[in-house]
Amino acid sequence: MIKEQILPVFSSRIRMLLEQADPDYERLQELRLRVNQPMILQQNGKELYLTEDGQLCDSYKKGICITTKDIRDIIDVACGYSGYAFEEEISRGYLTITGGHRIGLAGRAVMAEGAIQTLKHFSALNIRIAHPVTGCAEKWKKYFYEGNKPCHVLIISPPGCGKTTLLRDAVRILSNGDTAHQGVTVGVVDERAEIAGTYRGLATHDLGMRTDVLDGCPKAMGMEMLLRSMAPKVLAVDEIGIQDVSSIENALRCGCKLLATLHGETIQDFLEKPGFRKLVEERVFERYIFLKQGQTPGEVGCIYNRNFEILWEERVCI
Amino acid sequence: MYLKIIGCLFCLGAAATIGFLKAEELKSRVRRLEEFKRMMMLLQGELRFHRATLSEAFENVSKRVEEPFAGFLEETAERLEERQRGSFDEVWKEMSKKLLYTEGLQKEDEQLLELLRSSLGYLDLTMQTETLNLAMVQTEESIRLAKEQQETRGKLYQTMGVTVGALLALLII
Repeated sequence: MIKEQILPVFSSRIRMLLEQADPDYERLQELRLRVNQPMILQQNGKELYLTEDGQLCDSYKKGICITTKDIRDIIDVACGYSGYAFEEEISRGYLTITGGHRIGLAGRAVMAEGAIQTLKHFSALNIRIAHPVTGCAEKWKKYFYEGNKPCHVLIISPPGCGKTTLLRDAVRILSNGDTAHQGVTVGVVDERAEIAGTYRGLATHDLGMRTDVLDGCPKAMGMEMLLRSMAPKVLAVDEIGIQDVSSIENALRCGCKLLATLHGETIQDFLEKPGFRKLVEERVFERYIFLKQGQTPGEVGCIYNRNFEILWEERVCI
Repeated sequence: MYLKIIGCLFCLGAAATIGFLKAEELKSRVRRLEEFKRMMMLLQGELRFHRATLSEAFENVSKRVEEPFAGFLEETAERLEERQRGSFDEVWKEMSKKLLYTEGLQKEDEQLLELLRSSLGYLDLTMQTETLNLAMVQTEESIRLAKEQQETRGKLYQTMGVTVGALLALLII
């Protein structure tokens, strides 16, 4: 499945070599392409290089050199030869392709009135492979509820630890419910189309039967829109930032539960984020789930309650 | 005598039919160009209102226009979606050729299709809408010329068809 979504994006030269090399797409985390540099495939935390004869090796000297044309071709295909339709995404430095795989872009920024209008002279791409792991949040299900009702949950980890993967599965669990918990309506604001992997309005990942997805919309705006239009019981958002805090507060006032993710490594990191101090002091979030860097995406390191008391820690269960 | 009458009627009928068919061809060219212009107008709407990608816009518009444009857009969209069948340039060139040579548009319409090939998908939304505007203006001019031809040559073909048929009939008699 991932292979079919990823391969067509590449120029015929790289596509042919990748077909020959046939990497393990299920374990592939990201592909990095930089002009005049070898193409790097990151697999299980290890770097592999694609060679001219369609092999994967661990010596960068044998890796094929990426050209400007390779990069341009990938962007053209990812945009469906319609760059104008992705102006907003390109100006924010990413594109999302079918399956929710994100292509990060680097190049020269074109500024207009103090804001980035677009990017040109693309020099590097980072293709991050989305791996939906259905069932990865099952083990932590009980921490998503307080009594019988969903509670405010914040998932925190550095990039690449599986925040989105865990969030996606948590959405599915809350939406479907189970014998002990009734399923609830979940509204997902999927700014980068990574959670649902939406393609032409249809989610490619399983988000449960009571989930409404608003994709391509800035989080703050999307949360308010969903609250007004779809009346969700739970709002799910990925990678919240300081600019989203007022919308989060608004959602809380509406009695909506929040399921969100945030970049961070330790509790200290999180407490030092200025915009979130108020939310912490008011003890808004009822669960803080910290992920750890591991082989499997979405591996939980520890879970705290609203008072930062440990509810679960690796090897220590309370 | 009966054979002569049948021969006369056949010649008259055949020549008149050819004349009417030629006139009809001119009329259908006007219709086709008008449909082409409508196709571009719909494409412009799709790009401007929905910010649709080219393949999405082609697919949506293909359901709202008549043949040969419906099939042309549908197949182009399919090929673009497949992604491995070449770039937009290659797909559009190949499909334009098909449209021009199999569906009877004229050689001069190739310029219009070439204009779309070189500019669609390039730069921002304004570029797309301006390109389609320009193509629509050029199509309007082609429609005006085709209508003029239809009025002048259309009647001429019909009259000539009947006259030639009558002349042949006279010769047979």
